[in-house]
Amino acid sequence: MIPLDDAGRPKWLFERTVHEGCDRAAYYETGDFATEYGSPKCIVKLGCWGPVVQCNVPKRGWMAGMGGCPNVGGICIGCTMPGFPDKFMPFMDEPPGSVLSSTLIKPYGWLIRALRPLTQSTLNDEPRWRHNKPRLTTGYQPRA
Amino acid sequence: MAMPAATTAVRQPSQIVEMNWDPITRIVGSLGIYTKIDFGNRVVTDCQATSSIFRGYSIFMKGKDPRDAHFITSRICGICGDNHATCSVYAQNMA
Repeated sequence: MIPLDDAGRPKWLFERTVHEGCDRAAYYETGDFATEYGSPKCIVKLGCWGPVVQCNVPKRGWMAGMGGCPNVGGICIGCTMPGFPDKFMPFMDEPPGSVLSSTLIKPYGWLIRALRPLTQSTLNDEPRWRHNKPRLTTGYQPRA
Repeated sequence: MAMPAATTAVRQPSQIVEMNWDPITRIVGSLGIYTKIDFGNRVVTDCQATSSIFRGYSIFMKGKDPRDAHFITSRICGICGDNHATCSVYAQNMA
């Protein structure tokens, strides 16, 4: 028997949340939220219930690995949960729990976004190898 | 559907046959068509369409937030959910 959770649902489908499989989760982590449809950022403020809904569609894609509701910009309305649709209505309003979580993650996310260009500026530069010093810094590892 | 244009042909004696298909086979859904066809004049004189399945969408959609309409109506049919969503949005835009 395949592993089931305590509601009798197969774990391979219902164990992880939508947010754990969403392509846009990085924007949530850095507090970068979309304010209108059509933006590539996290759509939790537009009504996406992804962080709490148990569904693996964004992870496995809708058609052969592609697509998946929030991946393409459609808000998650929680249609795999027993509480659908009444507990998720109205769909296009921000979920009450995400008001708190998005407020809390904004300062942390702002810090990450501020520090990111610092790291990127050094990573986007090759190591300095053009010099006459005795020790090579080209990354060459002789087999000895 | 547009009515056929009036012709100048001689009017034949009418032979009205009542033909009903309810439900129509080999399609998904439960569409019923009730017609009265005049085979003498090759004209359909009456046609009604109905459905023999009731699920209550027209009842519970009342009073809900209109922005949710296309999410709910697209679940009417798993094959043609897209056109239910589009129609519900068109109806709201026209209103």
